[in-house]
Amino acid sequence: MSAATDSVYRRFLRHRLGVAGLVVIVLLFGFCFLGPVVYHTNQVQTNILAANLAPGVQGHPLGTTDVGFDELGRLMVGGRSSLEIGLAAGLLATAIGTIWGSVAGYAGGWLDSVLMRIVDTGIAIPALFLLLVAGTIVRPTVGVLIVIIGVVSWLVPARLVRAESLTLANREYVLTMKALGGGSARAIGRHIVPNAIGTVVVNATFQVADAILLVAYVSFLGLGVPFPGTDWGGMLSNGISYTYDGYWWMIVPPGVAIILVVFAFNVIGDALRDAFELRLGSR
Amino acid sequence: MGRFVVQRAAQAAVVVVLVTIVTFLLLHALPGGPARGILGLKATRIQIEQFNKTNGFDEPLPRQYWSYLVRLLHGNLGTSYKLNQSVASLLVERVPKTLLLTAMSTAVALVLAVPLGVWQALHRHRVGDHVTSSLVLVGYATPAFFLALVLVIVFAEKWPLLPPEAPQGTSISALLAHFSGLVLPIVTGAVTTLAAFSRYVRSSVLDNLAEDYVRTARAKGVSERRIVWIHVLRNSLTSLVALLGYYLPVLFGGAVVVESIYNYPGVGLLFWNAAQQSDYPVLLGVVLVISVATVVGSLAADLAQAAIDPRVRGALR
Amino acid sequence: MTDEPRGARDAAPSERGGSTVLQVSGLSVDFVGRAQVTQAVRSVSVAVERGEILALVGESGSGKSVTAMAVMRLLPPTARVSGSIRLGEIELTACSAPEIRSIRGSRIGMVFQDPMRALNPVFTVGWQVAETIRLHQPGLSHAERMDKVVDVLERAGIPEPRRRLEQYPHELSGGLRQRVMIAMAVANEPELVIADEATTALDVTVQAEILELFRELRDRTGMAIVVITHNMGVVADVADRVVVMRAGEVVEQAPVEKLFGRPEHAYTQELLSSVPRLSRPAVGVAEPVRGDDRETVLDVRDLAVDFGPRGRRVRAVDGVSLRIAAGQVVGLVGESGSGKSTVGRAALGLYAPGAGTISVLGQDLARLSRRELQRLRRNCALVLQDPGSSLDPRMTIRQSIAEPMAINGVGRRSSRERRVAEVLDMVRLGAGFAGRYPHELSGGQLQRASIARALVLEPRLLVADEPTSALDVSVQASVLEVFLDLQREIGFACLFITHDLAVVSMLASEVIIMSQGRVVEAGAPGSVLFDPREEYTRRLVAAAPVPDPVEQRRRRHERIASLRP
Repeated sequence: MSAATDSVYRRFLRHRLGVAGLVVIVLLFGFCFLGPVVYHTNQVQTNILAANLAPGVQGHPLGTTDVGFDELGRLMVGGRSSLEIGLAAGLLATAIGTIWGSVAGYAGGWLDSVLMRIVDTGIAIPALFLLLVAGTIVRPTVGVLIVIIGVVSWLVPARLVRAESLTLANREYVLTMKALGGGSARAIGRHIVPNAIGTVVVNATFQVADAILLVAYVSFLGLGVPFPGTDWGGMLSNGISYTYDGYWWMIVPPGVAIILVVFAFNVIGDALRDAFELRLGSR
Repeated sequence: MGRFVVQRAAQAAVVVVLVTIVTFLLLHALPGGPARGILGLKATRIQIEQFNKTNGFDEPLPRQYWSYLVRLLHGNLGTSYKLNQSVASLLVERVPKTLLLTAMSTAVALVLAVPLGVWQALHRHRVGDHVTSSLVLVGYATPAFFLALVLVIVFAEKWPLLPPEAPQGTSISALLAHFSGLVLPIVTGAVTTLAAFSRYVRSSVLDNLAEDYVRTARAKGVSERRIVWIHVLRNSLTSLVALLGYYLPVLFGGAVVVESIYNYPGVGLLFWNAAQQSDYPVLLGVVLVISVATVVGSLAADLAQAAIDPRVRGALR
Repeated sequence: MTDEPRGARDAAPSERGGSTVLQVSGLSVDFVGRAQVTQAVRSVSVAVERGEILALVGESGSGKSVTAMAVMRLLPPTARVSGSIRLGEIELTACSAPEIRSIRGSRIGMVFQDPMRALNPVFTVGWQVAETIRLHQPGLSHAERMDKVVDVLERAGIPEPRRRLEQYPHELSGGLRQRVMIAMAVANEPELVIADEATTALDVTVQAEILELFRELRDRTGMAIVVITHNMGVVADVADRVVVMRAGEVVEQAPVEKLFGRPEHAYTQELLSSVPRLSRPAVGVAEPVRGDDRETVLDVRDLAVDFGPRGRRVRAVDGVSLRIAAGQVVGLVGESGSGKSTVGRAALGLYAPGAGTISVLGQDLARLSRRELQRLRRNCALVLQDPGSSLDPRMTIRQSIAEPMAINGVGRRSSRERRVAEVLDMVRLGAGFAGRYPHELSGGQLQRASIARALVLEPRLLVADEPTSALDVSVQASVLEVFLDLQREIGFACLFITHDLAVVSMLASEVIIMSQGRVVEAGAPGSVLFDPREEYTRRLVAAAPVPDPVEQRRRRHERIASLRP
């Protein structure tokens, strides 16, 4: 790509924590998506006879769940859902928000007001509330969850990109382009969005992290991926009912997994933010 | 200043109206309409039609919206399907309790977040900063119910210091009387807020430290400490207030989780139970009231910011 | 006032009862980066005497600001300082942090460039000035302290000082803000004040007042002042002695008249010759022939432009008319807030007029459809001020220059490539620049690339808004030269907007002076600049400092005499 993007990569790589986060994410993805290829378990048929086994018993390295699923394999299944939904919803939210925000910021005037009032309305209604209400109307599946979480989350990127867009719209190169006959589409598509990429990308990583957390919360509240699928949040809330029985292996692995993946994405986002801002600050 | 207030209030009013439209539409988005929700899946078509007629659900949408709006303005939010109470009275019971809990955990979070963020900015890029940032981030990444679990196990089981459930009193004073039962809910609610705010304070302070007026202060001989705590913080606080306004919906959303974990008799728990039972009037009544509260809260935060920031104040004189 | 004959100041420092306030010997400053070490200052030795104004002159990268910051120990942690800086008997480089803090603001004061950003926006003026007094003169009661604040504001020439105590920085004008900064710097009666580009962000008339304030402070208190600047006019106006720096080294030091009259070093000579001088129209600049038959490229009649929200609209431009014939360069001059930029942008249809008409190439902009406007814009071009944002940082130079062609659907890939190379040649940037990105180019190169982009479709009308104001003096000279050559060659009509009278006298065949949205005076540069009719024009011309100390002194005396009732 360009020399500028090149130096962003280089600056990112200097952030040890950020790189570590990236490694963790790659490993987690590998674990969840490639793991089952290496490590087969039955995640569809329950097996009550093998329920609640402690780690190490009968060849289950992390024990089994309350319905007899192998915990390690369950972790992979749950991870696939959590990561898929989180990633897709986060990216969906970023995409919608970026377009919405850049149009609002560039257009200004009444269009900006209208678009932003809608955003304000969306922000005013707490996401969890909307999700729960939506959950009573629609049966949740992975696809539905992606759409709903994406729809609830695009508001924040919209605000951010709008602010960025307002600044960029006044840059001299945009003004000059206008004077030479360029139109709004060109301004937004070729000048504003590419220059807002830093903000957009950084925000995207945080969106994904938040989406994964939101999925966990939604599952905890009972609206997660339907059986026999699951996600880490669902595993966690399922396991919590067994706390007092001492079946820690149903709780700790999914909990740690969530913390790890959200932490990793956030750390990547921080490192990216530094990598992009330095470039702008060098002038 | 007056003009600014009017403008912002008008914007807020528009948003409130939009919110009522959203809740109204949600009510009518239910498959089979609210009729099915009450009469159940086995209701016949005639029963549904009858129900709709009696309850005015067969009129054209805009007319229904109008009567809905009129009812709202009279304080009529409908009646709960499952509990035998008007939604309004339920809210009056529960909302103050949620406000109490939310206010306390936010206050705790802020009181800790600001000094923490400042400290981190002062020690930026040193070990202390990195370690604190990571710890704070772990707090952010931990789902509240997981954290609650850990807290309950440690503080209520292993070392029985605090009760695992919130007090069940019916009045605020009753709740406060059993304060020990509020500790864990407050802490659980505070952790995520603490994480978000201390990160913000840290980066805001760092941004401000790069500003020209800091260089001037140094040239005057002002100590670094004073620069951060007085010169910079005063600037950061104005934007922190605005952030608080944006953060309200997140706080309220969090209330659902915290209250359901600790069985705290607030509006979040009410909502959660209503969701389980498809008690639509309650659900929508809560959404409406909480959203309006959020809009009002944001407006208050914006106005507070204008009051604190002399640039905004001055420009509007 | 302050115009003692030069003789008194020519006397040696010791005769004036002076002594060396600051002695810098062999100062070197390096910046330690990740991959390399940058030498910003190399073995600089300068002495500042009591009661003198020393000008530290250089272009960007000369190390003048770094030297000043080194004195105050305000450099970032990546800086490595060696050498000696003595303030009287104290070795500043060896001071502990508390020691240097007690010196800052009390024995040495500093004034920075942009007072809007250099003052804390959330604290009152009174609070900020009082802070420096409280730090270095403890033991005063609050009332005593505030009295001192009022006193120092007054001495800095601020009217109604007591009222200012409760005001915030944004409520004051640029000039007043800078006076507040100066008041803060001198509040504790320091021996030395360092002013780093203190007047660069100010209008010319305000600048003249601030420089007057410096002279006053010197005469009244015997304070030594170091004025750091790149503006030779400022140097000629205010300095007693001059130190010229370049690439971190001192190139020449001399009393001001000697430096300007008999510069020794080649760089000084080059610097002095690059400064645009207010000159009667040079040979070759086309004189307008009134009522000639050349085509009118731009015709503005009674233009008014309004800004702001409904109910609080401000008229930025009011009743402005001008006409530019083909091939003619018209200079539009004014200070900040005069509305000159607005006129320029309105001429290209970027702002909708509140009243009046704008016709480009005979077509009334208001009557054109979107498509017609776009087609008309093929013939227009715009060059703006800031080299940092005139080109999209994410596009190569080639892409930026080719953009007008892309917008207007001109040519194909191959023909566009050729045209880009052609136009890069014209602005004397090699074709090799085409593949580079803006952050790889210097300010002057960027502005030339900007000009190249403007010329790519052979415009009939070019609006240039302060195209060289952000550049170093020598770079400015070369860019203007390129611009002038191209204008003669290609023959485009140009609306050249600037605040710099000297530049406009070099380029334009007609000069229009604007103030507060209105045209004050217009005509040939020879008459407007050298024999102005209007009071405002006279003041403007008189306030602009010329790079010749003797001449400048005479002008100053004239100006002050004319201001006296």
